[in-house]
Amino acid sequence: MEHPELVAGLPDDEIPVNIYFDGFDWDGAGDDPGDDAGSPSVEALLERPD
Amino acid sequence: MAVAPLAIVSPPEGAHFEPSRVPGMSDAELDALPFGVICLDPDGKVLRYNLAEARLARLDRAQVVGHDFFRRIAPCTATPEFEGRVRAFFGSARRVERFPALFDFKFGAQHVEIELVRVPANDCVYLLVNRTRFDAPREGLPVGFQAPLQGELAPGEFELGVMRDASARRVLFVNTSFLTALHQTWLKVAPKAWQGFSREWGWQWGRHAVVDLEADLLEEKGQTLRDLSMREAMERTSHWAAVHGLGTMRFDFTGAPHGLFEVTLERSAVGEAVGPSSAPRCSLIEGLLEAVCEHLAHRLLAVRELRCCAQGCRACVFVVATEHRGPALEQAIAEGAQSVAQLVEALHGTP
Repeated sequence: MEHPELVAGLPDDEIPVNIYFDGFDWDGAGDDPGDDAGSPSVEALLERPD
Repeated sequence: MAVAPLAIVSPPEGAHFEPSRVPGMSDAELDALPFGVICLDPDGKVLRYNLAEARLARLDRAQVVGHDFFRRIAPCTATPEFEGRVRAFFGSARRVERFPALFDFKFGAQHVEIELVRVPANDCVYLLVNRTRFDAPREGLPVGFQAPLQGELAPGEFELGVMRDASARRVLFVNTSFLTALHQTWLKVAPKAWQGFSREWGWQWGRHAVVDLEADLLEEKGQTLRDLSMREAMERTSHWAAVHGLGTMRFDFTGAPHGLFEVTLERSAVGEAVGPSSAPRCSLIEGLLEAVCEHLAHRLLAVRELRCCAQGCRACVFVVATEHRGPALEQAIAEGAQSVAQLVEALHGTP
């Protein structure tokens, strides 16, 4: 279940999220991260680009 | 550096949220918000003041609530642009109003976005305060214009046995016998309740830790936790744990392809305080990590202790996974899983 988000002054659809944690494969679906264009690698979630 | 407003996950039972819900929130719920909330009556008296506002203003709400916000707590807001807007809001029909402002403290100037929220009875107004930039203290301001320090609102506290940290929060100095005594008490009055109690206690503490982590990051770097990579966010959490004396946390993401990661806690204060046990005992840390990780991930998570120093292990090891895998994790651990690899095998096929 996803949490609804809480933020002062922003409509729900404009609330920013942590893209690194959001990109984590929490379901452990077994996708091969980094192999397809929309799936970030684990390394990409751990480090910010310079 | 400018930052966008902070976001936080609502409590697990939380319904759809929008700022007009704030007046109906309990004090505990307000304290879990990482932005400031101030409630004023029509005379400007502070009725409510949440944890984030107290942390960022470096004031103890015990010296704030009940006092005149514009004259005593924040004289810098006694201007037509701020106080005038708030007073006019009471007499208007507007539901919300937003405006930028500057909070002048003696330790720094804070650029903020204020959102005024009306309550139906119109007997008070809520100010939601989002910090957007931190600057050095402004010079050349009139005497008495800047907000007073905690020590000025309550002088001579140390002599009264009141201790505060650098952010003026009241602190206690206790050794681990405090935890030992608490654990022994639970064993005496409710032997099976320690795990559930301490996990919930840790979760509630973690909600406050999130406010702390967000405030520290905002002050130091003008960033929020959502800006940080997973490693950076967890390293800040580790630092927070270390300065609170909980032990040393390390993170291992090799289980990431399977939807989980591992947290190792060496020298766990909780594990060492409760003494030898046949089962993991650091449920306080489980709850703490759960609240912090839920805030970061914006979803419900389960943190379970795989092995514990109270069992004689070298360090405590926790696994972080999505919430619906919690029961499967618990079953696998109860059946003897000792490593992430064994957990992964046990979780195989679990959605």
